[in-house]
Amino acid sequence: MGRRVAIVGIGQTHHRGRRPDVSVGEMINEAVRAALEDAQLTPKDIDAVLCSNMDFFEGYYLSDLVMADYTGAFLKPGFKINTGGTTGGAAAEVAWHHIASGLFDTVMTIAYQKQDEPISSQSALMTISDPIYDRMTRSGNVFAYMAEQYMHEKGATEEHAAIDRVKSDQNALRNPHAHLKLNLTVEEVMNSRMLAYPLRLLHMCPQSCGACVLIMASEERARKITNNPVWYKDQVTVFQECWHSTSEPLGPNPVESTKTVAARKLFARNGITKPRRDIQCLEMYEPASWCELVWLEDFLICDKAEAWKLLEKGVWHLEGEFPVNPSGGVVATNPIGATAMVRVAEAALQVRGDAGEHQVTRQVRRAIASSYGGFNWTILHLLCGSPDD
Amino acid sequence: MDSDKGEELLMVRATYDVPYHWSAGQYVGKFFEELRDNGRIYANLCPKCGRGLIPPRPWCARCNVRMGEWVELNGRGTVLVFSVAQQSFWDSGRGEMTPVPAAGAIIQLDGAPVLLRHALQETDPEKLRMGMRVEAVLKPREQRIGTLNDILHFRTIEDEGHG
Repeated sequence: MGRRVAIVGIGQTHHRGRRPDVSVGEMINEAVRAALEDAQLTPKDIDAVLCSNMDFFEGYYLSDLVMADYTGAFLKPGFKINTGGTTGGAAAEVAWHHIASGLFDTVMTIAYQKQDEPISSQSALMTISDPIYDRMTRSGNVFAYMAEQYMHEKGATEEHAAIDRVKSDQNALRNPHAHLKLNLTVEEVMNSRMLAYPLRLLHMCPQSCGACVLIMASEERARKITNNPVWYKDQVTVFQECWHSTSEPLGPNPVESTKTVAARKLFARNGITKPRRDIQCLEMYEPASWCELVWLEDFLICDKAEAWKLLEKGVWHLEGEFPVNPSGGVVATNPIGATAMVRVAEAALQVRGDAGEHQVTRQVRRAIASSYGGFNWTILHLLCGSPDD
Repeated sequence: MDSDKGEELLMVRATYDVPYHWSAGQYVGKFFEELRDNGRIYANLCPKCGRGLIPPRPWCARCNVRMGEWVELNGRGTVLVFSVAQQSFWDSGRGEMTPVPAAGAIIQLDGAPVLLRHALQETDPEKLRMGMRVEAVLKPREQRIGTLNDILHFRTIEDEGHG
């Protein structure tokens, strides 16, 4: 597995729907400064800088142009990473590669998105998919299909998605960095505007502007930088076929979820046999409330058709047996290119015990963070309080 | 630098107009050609796992083998799951707002173990159900240009009697 790697600095912007007061570079710089401050480092301590976003949102493709001017990368090595929705998670992963390999000791990795720059975020987003096939047929909403199938096959109701959304909102209300803090009721969620049955407006993630920065270091460096390193223990990335219709979880050739493949591999090689016992919380990339329920099952955190039942018992709540998205999750905050890194950052804060008002009740020795993107691709990260965990 | 003082927050505006033409490739190209010229819908089959792919592709990504036989489908199928979009947005590929309501479905086609995501003609959710039977409606020959949209949509089969 290479050298041990720890997260030693964490920085985020206060994520918001619009940031007309700053340019992209200025927004990134806010998170860079916050991470350096958190680690008590200066740019001269950083060996390499990585940055990531989904560049079609800002509309220019050499997005690493920001690096030298706004991040302290002048005359340093590094590069830009773009893997779609997982990109912020991939940027954390690549920092891990840099350090675990022995080539670098201290790496700053940056993820950002300024979703108020495109006039229509959705029209920028649709340029992500295969132009010949998937984009052409505007072939329905992937989360609406998922939700309908979950209700039909697993017995969940619309009320469960609403309860889950309210749970996330209550967490977001405690998180100073969260974007949407709505103090919602179940009724408000259930009566919100229909986007594509059964998917409603308040089930979906917002468009946010924000940046997230992690500073990661080798064990030797980490122990000099902080008394409280969070160990980036392991990580699994899983791809699948890139075209709709080929990669459905239903029909005559059902494909196993990339989430299940990732969880099985990560749990097996880290001795995790009872996930809700051996791991203490999860920061999941859930683009819609329905995803949180379906994917808890796909990630093997509970059995099939069980996520909505455990929701009713409060298991996923902040004070629950296995808190999910104590930060409020993606339905509250979605600076999309940074969203996957925010999951890692928030999971690290939980391990470090520094999440403040949204620190979970149970003691967190291990946390997992997931990235969603590409074509239903998954990155699953394992963070630990001790390198021997 | 305090925005409360009422200074203008300046925006620099621009719109890209970047035309593309994408190569369909040998397999999808042949599929589009058959659809456009002859109104035929083909899938091809994996010789190892037996699944079909539509449009046909050169390799089965799951088995890592070259795909085999091409089979012509009759354009009929069964809706496995559907949704009806009510929210319109700017379609940057076509330069227009997306039409709503717009019904989509994952359809299991007859004649090969294959799924297709496509549009449904019926947009009233009350008239849609899982398991309903549908059939492809092609655009007229002169409007077909060799894309998956040469299939206009799938319409509900009211009576699937034989004869």
